[in-house]
This record gives sequence, structure tokens and C-alpha cells, in this order.
Amino acid sequence: MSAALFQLNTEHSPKKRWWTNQELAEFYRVSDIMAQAGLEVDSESGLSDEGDPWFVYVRSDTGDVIAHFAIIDGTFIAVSAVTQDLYRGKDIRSLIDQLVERHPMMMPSGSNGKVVLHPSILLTAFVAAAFVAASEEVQANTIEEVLEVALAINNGEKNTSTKTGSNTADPSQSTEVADEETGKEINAETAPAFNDLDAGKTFGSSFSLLGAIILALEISSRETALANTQQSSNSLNMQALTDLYSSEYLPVPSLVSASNPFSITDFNQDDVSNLGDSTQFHEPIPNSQLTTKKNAATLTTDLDSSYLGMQDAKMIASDSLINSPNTQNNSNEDFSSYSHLGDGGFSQATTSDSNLFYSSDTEQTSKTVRNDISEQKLSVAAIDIVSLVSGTVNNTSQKEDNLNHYSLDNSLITSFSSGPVDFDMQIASVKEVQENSTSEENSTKGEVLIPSLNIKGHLLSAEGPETLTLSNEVDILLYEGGNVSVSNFELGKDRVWFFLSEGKNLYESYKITESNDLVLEFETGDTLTLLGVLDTESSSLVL
Amino acid sequence: MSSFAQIKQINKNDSKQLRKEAGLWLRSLREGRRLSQRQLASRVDVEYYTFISQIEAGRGRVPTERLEIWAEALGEEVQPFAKRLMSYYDPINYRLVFPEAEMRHSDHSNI
Repeated sequence: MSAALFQLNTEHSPKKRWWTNQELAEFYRVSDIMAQAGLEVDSESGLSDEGDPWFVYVRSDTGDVIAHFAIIDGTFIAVSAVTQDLYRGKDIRSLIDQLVERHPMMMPSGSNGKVVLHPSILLTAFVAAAFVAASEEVQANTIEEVLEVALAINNGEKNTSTKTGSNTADPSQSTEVADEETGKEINAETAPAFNDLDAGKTFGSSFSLLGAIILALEISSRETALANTQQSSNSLNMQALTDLYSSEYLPVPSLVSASNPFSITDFNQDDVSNLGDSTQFHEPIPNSQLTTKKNAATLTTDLDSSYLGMQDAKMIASDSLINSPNTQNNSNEDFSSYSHLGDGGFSQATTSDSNLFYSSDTEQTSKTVRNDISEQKLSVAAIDIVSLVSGTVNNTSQKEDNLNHYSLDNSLITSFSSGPVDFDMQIASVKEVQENSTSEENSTKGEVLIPSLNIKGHLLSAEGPETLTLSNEVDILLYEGGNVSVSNFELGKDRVWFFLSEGKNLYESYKITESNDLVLEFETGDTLTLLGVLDTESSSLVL
Repeated sequence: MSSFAQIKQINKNDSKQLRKEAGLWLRSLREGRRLSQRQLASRVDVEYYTFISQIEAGRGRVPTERLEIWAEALGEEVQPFAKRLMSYYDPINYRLVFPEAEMRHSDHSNI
């Protein structure tokens, strides 16, 4: 006679599941990003005998596993296969939070913990760091060592630094990567992974690897921006665009330096080709630097919930930003303010109802603009022209007051060009809902005006008229090209949107004439002239 | 493709195949001991038991410094165990060190 003893497991058994498509997509995206940076990794996934999924990254050249992800009993784990650094969390987002907690250097300085880093960036950082840690040349004990070294190099920290001019000796690494590292400095105190390295070949190779990790992060951040803006290209979804501006999609966080102001005006994937020269990095602008909010509205925006396990992620945009020449206004309020014009009242600006701008619920005529832009990566640009010409505007404070009445920020020109997507954009003249509420006589100074203005769209192209006189409504100029002179353009109320081809700068140069005309000159030789736009008297009168 | 690249590719494919064979061998040992992957992970002091599944799938390798504890966990003699895994993970050195015991892929699969 025999007896079998069965152990009754009374504990709740988490439901086993395979990776979601989103999770897999994110994993593969990391692979792609790393491949672009010259870090070739394979990946493989499988199920345990209990049905728990795992996913690993494997170095293509050696076959060694560098990072292991799994969901064990409902808990996400991430492990650096070499250093065995292990992270646990309820989802990948929480893993990433742990990564940030353990590696505070990854956070941008001065962020006060308010910045939400994009999951892809940190996921890539983790895998890329694991890749570097798995290199024989890099005698790192922990992921943190690798990250510290990489980020210290990237920050150009100068303590007991050792100058290196060595090029890569590793044929598997691109020379661009090595060149990018040439001349950079490494902080020996914060670089224990490199303390024991011999000079020469190994050193150069290590630097090329570190260059690769930086590249991976850079590409990750760039693609993050693109991925989000491309969402908007499908349906001209303003939410995505405003999310881009209002969120903190940072490049390698510590790359952000106040002493290194950005000169970029757009996000261009082609820029990746320039990554070999660190001086040509066109870093995505931390959007906190893009934002000017005179109304001091604290913006809380849901980040893309499609990212792995990313729930209830919020970011708070900084409201303490300034109008510096290198500061771009965001277009967030542009979109929201339009929508509120149609509401017949002004409330706290949000982006959730920005689609009102394109609402078909209008009584006025609408104008459909067909815009076919091909072979372009989405790029986004915003120019604060008030800042641009601030030296010539004498009555700024008065303008700003008026701008506040209209809930408009002082960004004048917003530009974006779209990806290879054909889209119809409907510029609707939004009829005011509460028509009886506004008259000039009833409006008292200091009171929030209820805008009674319609929105009118004007397509400006080489085939169109060369002159245009704007109305006293909110005029939106959609500039495709051509030599056009526009009169009655009112600062703070009217807008210009540029639709430019790939590779074109927003404008080549600008000049201000004696008659207070603002002339924007483009590479094509076309000019857009805003006649008398800087005539403060007329602007003030209008406003 | 250059000859060097071809050789490299062949070696890469061989290596991949050998690791898969190693994984199958380890799995057979574990199952022979009626151990679950979680139980084996516990015995070899691995926090995430999916690592066992990964190894058995032919991805990665048993760390050299862990060969002894793995052998014990699977009830194997350390030296033969290490030698066998060496033939999978490092076949070139294995053949140099043990020229008399050259093993082919098919030899492993028959075990």
C-alpha cells in the first residue's frame, strides 16, 4: 500500500500570461535602437515549465545573454545577466522607476524628480549598459558603474580626468562611435569599471562601447519624440503633438545642460547620421525649455499609455520658464486656445478638447487644405518670434496683458511638417457659442474677455496671391511657400503655421525693415513678409 | 561574404546549435531528477527561475563559477559535468585539451 502526499497550494496563483504585443514591441524597439548604435543584439523569448514568460537579449557576436526579462508569478523582473543586478516590480514601468532610483545620475539635474523619463530610454539604457558590462574589456561589477562612466563621460565631468584621444580598436564598433568619444574625458574616480584597464586598444575599445551606449540612448530619445509626433500625422491629432511639447522627453538626461543651449528647431531622424560628431548632436529639446506659461497653469498630461505597463503616469511641466532666445514656446496653448475660442469662454487650458479646433460643429464656412508631404520625417518646430524680435518691441508688457485676455501665449509662429502621410486639414471657422456676451462697450478692462472672434485659415503658396490682408478675426496662415506679403497680422492673435519640405529650415534668415515689417527669408528664396507686424501702435489698438 | 565572415558565421551557427544541445542535456538531467525549473533554480541559488528555462532553451550558458553547484544540484560528478558542458560551450578549447575525446554534435544528441 502506498500513499501519495499532495501539497495543497492555497496561495493565490497569479494568472500566467505571455508578453503582450506592446511589451514585445517595446523589447524589439530596444533591439532596433541598439542596432542603430552599433550594438548588435539578438533576442529570444520562451516560457518556463510553469508558463512564465521570459525574454532575453543576446550579444550577436558572442551569444552571451546580456539582459533577462521575465514575469514570474506576476512580478516583472529585469536582470543584467552579467552583473546580476536584479530589479523587481509590478510592471516594467516600476522596474524603470527602480532603475532611476538606483541610478540617480540618469535623472537630469535640477529636475526635482518631476521629470518622467520615457520608458524606452531607460529600457535601452539598461540593456545597453548590460551590453557594455558584458564586454570583456569593461571590468564593471555593476550596471551602475557602467552608467556612471557613460554619463560622466557624456557630462564631460572634470575631476581627476584622463584625456583620451584613442580611437577604436574594435572592428565591430563603428569608427563614428569612437570618433564621437575622441577628446572626451573620463572621470577616473567615478569610473571604477575602467580603473584597471590598460591603455591603448582596450581603452579605445571600451570608449567605443561607451560611445555606443550613449548613442543608443540618444537614438532612443530621438525615436521617442518621433514616435509620438508620428501619431499626430495620421489624423493630425493635436493631442499627440501637444503631448510632445508638454512632456519631458529627454535625451540622455544628463546630456541636458543649461550651459549648452539647444540650437535645434526640429527633430529629424536624418540627424542620426551626424551622430559621429558630438558637436552636431541635435538633441530633442527638453520640453520644459519649450514651454512658456504666463498663466502659470500647471499642466498635467497623460503620457502615452501605450507604453509598457505605464499607467497613471503623469508629468508636470515646469512653469518657471523664460523667454530666452533659445527658448521655444510650446504650441500647447495654441491648440487649446483655439478650442476655447469656440467655447465662448476661457477656462484653464487643457489639451483634451483640442479637437474642437477641428470640430465640424460650425456654422461658418470651412476651408479644407490638402497637404501632401512626402518622404519626410515628422519634424516639429516652434519659434517664439516675440522673443526673436524682443529687442524691437517696445510695448511688450501691454501686449502680454492683452495676450492673457485671449488666453494666448506669446508664441507667434508654430511650424510643423508632417511625415509621409496625406492628410486633410480642416480649418473651421468656429462660431462663437455665446454671441450675446461680448461687445466692446460691455467689456471692462481687467476682465477676462470672452472672445468673439472667428478663426480663418489662409493657405499661402507659390500659386496663390502675393498679398493678403488679414481680418480682425483670428487668422491662421498656412504657409507652404511663395513670396507673400501679409498685412494686418496681429501679434499674439494671429498665427503662422509652416508646412515645409524635409530638409528645409524654418527660415534662412529674417530681417526687420524700417517700416516694422518682418521679412522671413527661406532657403528657396521665398519670403514671407508680415507688413507692419512690429508696429506696436497698430498691434495695441487691435488688441 | 568573405571567407573570414563565412567562418565566423559557421562558428556562430555551430555555437548556437551546441548551446541548444547543452540546454537539452541539462533539461534531461533535471527531469531525470524530477526537479522543476524553480526547484533547480533554488538549488543553484538563482533568484529568477526563468533563467533555468533560458539555459535549457540554449540561450546563454551555465556560468563557469557555478558549474560545481549545478553539478551537485543535478546529482552529477563535477568533473564529467564540467567537461561535458565545456564540449558544448567551448568546443575549440575542449578539443585542444581533450583531443582523445573529440565529440561531435550528433554524439551529444544521442546521450
